Amino acid sequence: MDIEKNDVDLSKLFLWNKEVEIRDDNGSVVKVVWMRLVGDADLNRARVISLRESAKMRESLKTESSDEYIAYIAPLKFTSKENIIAGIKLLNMSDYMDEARTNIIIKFPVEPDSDASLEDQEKYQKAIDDFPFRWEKDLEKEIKKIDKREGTRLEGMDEEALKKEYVDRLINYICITTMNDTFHSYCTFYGTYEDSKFRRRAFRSYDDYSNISSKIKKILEDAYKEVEIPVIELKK
Amino acid sequence: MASAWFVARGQWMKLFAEFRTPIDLPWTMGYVIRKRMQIDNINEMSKDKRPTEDMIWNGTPEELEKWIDDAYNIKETTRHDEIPFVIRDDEVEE
Repeated sequence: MDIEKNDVDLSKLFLWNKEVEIRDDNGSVVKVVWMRLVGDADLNRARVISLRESAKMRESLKTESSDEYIAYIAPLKFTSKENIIAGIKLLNMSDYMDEARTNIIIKFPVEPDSDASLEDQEKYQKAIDDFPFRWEKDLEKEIKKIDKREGTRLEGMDEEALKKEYVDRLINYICITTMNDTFHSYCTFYGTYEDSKFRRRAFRSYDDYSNISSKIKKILEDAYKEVEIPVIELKK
Repeated sequence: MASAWFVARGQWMKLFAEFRTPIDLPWTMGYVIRKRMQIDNINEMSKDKRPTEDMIWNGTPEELEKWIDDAYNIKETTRHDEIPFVIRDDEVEE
């Protein structure tokens, strides 16, 4: 957890676009495009499309004849109990972290009065700087506790119930990944322009974007990530 | 970062001149402006009625709305998906 609200770089908010050079294998620039952070309308479009893609994936993963089922769910038949437990724990890790975060109670450092002495202000800043380390240490301890508790719970379950839990978790995980990947891909497509004034999109359709080489797609998607600011940082 | 709103409000034309309409604004700026406005509005409430910091930053809009309703003792009489349709006695034909 980060609480250094007094240590914020405001300028990041205004770095919302960048020029992106696409180079060939010899390092020569073959194309220049402009990348911008999308607005609310495109963001919402990307969100809706990615939700639909996630729903499609969920449907496929539940259909025994689908390629997705055969690739991800069917091999479970040959998996040992130990591996299923390990898999469930891995897939549940973000839930364990959420639970641990909720369980940890550490008091935030109290801000000194505005006329506090220099020494008190220094102490406060030190407490703020140390806070993430204290928090991380407690978080790790709490996760270990939850992991042990869950291990005992899973060991006590029969194989059928374990497989069901594993499949449910795996489907959720794959759908979340599908949603995130689609969302990011659409944001990059909506955010790539041919001109620095952001009037002409670089790709006429999403299909055009999707058909470019994965190498170029990676360059564009990485560039988009560079102009994006995570919500957690915006909250500062 | 939310303080950007104050900067933006003072220098709106200069900072945002390149955006033709508010919809062109990067979502991060839109988010910061909306959050700043929300906090300004919450600060209009008396201190004892304000939602907690955790609620403001990590709560869902529904939780925040419920908090404010509870703080002002507003009872929900209409569901969000319903439109109240009131017929006064003098409008009823005999």
